[in-house]
Amino acid sequence: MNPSELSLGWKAAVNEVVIGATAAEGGTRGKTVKIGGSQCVPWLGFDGPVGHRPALAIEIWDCGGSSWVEQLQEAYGASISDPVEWAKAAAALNPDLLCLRMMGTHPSMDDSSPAEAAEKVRAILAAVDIPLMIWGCDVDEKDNVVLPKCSEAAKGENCLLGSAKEKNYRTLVASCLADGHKLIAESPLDINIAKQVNILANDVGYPLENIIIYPTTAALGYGSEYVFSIMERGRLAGLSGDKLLQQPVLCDVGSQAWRAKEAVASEDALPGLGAPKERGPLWEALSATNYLQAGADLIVLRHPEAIRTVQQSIERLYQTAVAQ
Amino acid sequence: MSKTPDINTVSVSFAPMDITVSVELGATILDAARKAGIIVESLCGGDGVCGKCRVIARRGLVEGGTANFLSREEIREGYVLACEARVQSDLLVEVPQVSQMRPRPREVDIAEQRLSEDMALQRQPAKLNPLVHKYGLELSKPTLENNGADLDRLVHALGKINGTGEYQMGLKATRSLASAVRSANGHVTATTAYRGPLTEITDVVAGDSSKVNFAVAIDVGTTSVVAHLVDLTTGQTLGASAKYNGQAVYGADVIRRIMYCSEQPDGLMQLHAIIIDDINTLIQELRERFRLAPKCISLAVIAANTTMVHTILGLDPSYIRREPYVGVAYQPPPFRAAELGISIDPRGLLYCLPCVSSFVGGDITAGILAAGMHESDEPRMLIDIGTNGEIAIGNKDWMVCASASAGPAFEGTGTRDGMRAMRGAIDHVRGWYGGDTLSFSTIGDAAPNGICGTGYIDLLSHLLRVGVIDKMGRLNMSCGSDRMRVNADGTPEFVVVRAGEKGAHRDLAVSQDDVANLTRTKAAVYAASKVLLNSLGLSRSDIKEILVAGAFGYHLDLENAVAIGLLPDIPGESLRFVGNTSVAGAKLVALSRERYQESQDISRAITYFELSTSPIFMEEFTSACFFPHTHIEEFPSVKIEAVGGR
Repeated sequence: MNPSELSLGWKAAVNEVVIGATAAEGGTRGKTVKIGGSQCVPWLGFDGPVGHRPALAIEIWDCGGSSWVEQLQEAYGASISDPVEWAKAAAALNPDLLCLRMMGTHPSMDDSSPAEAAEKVRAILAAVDIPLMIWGCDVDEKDNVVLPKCSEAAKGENCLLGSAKEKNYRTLVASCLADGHKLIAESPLDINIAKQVNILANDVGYPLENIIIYPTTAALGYGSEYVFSIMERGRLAGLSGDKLLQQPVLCDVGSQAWRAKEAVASEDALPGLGAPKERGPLWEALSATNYLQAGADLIVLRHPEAIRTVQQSIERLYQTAVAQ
Repeated sequence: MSKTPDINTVSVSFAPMDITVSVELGATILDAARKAGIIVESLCGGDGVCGKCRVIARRGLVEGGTANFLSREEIREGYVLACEARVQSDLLVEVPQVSQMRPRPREVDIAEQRLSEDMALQRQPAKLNPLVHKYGLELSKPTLENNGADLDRLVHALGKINGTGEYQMGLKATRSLASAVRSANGHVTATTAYRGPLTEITDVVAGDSSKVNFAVAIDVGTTSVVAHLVDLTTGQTLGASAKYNGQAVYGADVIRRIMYCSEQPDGLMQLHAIIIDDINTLIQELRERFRLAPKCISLAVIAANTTMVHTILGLDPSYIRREPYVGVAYQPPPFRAAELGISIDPRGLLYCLPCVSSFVGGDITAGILAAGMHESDEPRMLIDIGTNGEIAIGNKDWMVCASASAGPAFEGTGTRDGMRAMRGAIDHVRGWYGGDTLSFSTIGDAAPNGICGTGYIDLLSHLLRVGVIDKMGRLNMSCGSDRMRVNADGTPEFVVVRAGEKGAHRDLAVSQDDVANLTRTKAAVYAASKVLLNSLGLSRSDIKEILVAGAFGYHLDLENAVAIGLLPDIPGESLRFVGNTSVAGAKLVALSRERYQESQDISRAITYFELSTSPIFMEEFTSACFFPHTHIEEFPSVKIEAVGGR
């Protein structure tokens, strides 16, 4: 049987979303990245157009990575203590985007001010020319004062800002609208809420086409099968015509994978699982490739080795799929 | 008992009723009110959690009852909660109108009008063939040649009209036969009652009184009781009367009442006595209005939910509440009304419309019968919005039904300033007069003192439209309205009416909890209908027509009900308000033996779908806890409006 006969003939495709703006588009990025566009069950090229390759973002923190685990510190060396240097080191790994998380603004970290945060954003935009994601520290009250300043600082750069949640979306949505950014809509592993956040953002005037869904991510071994099935259900509903689930999907793998004891524990603590130096990046890469099968469009990673592994994996999947 | 004043008893007088009772020192005001036969609004049955039983202690001492629900001003004015305030001396208590359960005459009129509308009823009895029929007969004179017994001649005469049939007769009626057939020259009136394949001759009297034959059709709801007086010789409805179910003092919902029955030694008989008293009050009102003797009413037909049927008949409802949720009888046979204390003709009968299951009662059977769903070629859906949201879907070949505990938020309970659809209730909200003043109407055009179900539906829809609440149902403090404020719990609330506005004597507000309760109620109703459709493999477009029954009558604003996601978004012409189908079904049955048989067939044909065991109900419920719904594609008209308005 010809595999194309198995095509399900989907009614709709995943939205195409562009992040970043070049000089011609009013920004200062050297390139932009386009994600989404698939109209098939992930990677089944005979089922429909595969769309764009999933993009990879490298995560860095505005306050440096001194609190990160040893393996990650080693991978980036001294640059990790200075966000601008770190950004340059990360950009050198050739990711599609940089994911700047404003953890320094967290009240129990440095509690840095909105103005300081905005300054960091400017510095990093000046230091690297790849598209930028800016993610808050996940304390709503603080994010609501910090993110508007970061958004302003990056005005015109068409960044991806996050995250809007069902209980806190108005401020961020307003900023993204005003400064021309894309929006991460976050939901706690719940398809209903994923749709609801989209409706809420849309209700205050934000276009559904500019939203990226973040359905919450788990590391391999920590509920990833549940995340997988939520992503799968969402994707199938989107392809079947549900406009509120046609957004590209973001997976925040790095932060989760490096919390797993399997990624960080010493060989003494986990005998038989190999050296942590290799095991850690592998755990992160496997957590990520798992979600590639569920239709992830954008993945945030931390370890350079994991990034290389996932990049290769994406390339193989893509070439196989488009050849079908 | 000693006549000297006991040091431990005090007297409590109630105004404006002017009733005084003695109670023990330390009794609650609610105890005293019960003793005085005064019904003080109390939804929780005295648990101190509803805050509805506000009274004013005018003279004398009370202790407690001010801890919750009352504002500082109210406490200064002497307001206490009747269920918590304990009497410490002789006392004068004023029961404010809003706390009085017994509506005043003008309110009764309104309640009647609202609760008994059944004009949308499409069906009429096939032919007049009442459950209880009176025949004027002339019996042949006995002779030596034709010397059959009196009973034989009576049956023969009946047979000439009705064809042959199987008759049964009680001892009392048989004993009266000899004199009845002889004292008016063989002219008798025989009363027959339908008992399935048998016909009972319930009474035989001398002379022709066959033109005097009336019935009462009664809808016994958890909250309201409605009675219609019907002339069985013409099929005409003569009048209606309504009152609140007196059992409400013992709890707002059926579960609380069942608990009362199981936990109090004579709880069941107490509730039984109260509801029989309510029924008799309504019958008496109708009899007085139409100058009828009790003897003239030979039939009572009741449509009620399963728990109400149990308390009316005095059957123990305890097992309805416990797994596997079994009642004593769902299709009770007719009983002698007098045996239950219902004051109609002592020989008259009481029929109950058959129930389907422990949580789907004769009210739903009545609804299906009245709406004619069981004769429809195409599937129709009946939604009965009450404390339990009941949904039935079916046609002439099949019927399924589900019941969702929607909660009483649309019936004026479970919300801060909710009230029933009675005088002074805000029943419609039309939006804003330009600036900030809300445009609304109240029942009876009275000063507003609460918000009823239709008012809440309008209100939610408008608040959504102007952005005071978002689609999650959260009040938006930064919406710019100066009617937003933070209440004592630190949560936001929206002031609908300020004290003094249009004569309101206090602020009426909708709180965050209110919106949450209303959201859950509307979500349960919608989710139930969705799950039922899914379980049948049907979609909304397969449903020819949706019939909306319940106390909202025609007062529900369809557009707003759809905008908040209570009712499915279907074209207006596919949606029909059918008013109180419960009383309408009871009347159909009273007027037609065929319809009674149909109601039995309906109750047996319905498949009950248990939502609590449905894996998709919770999922559907969660999707519906959003305005109008998480799946906005199910609400195309709402979507268009939102886009157009922006």
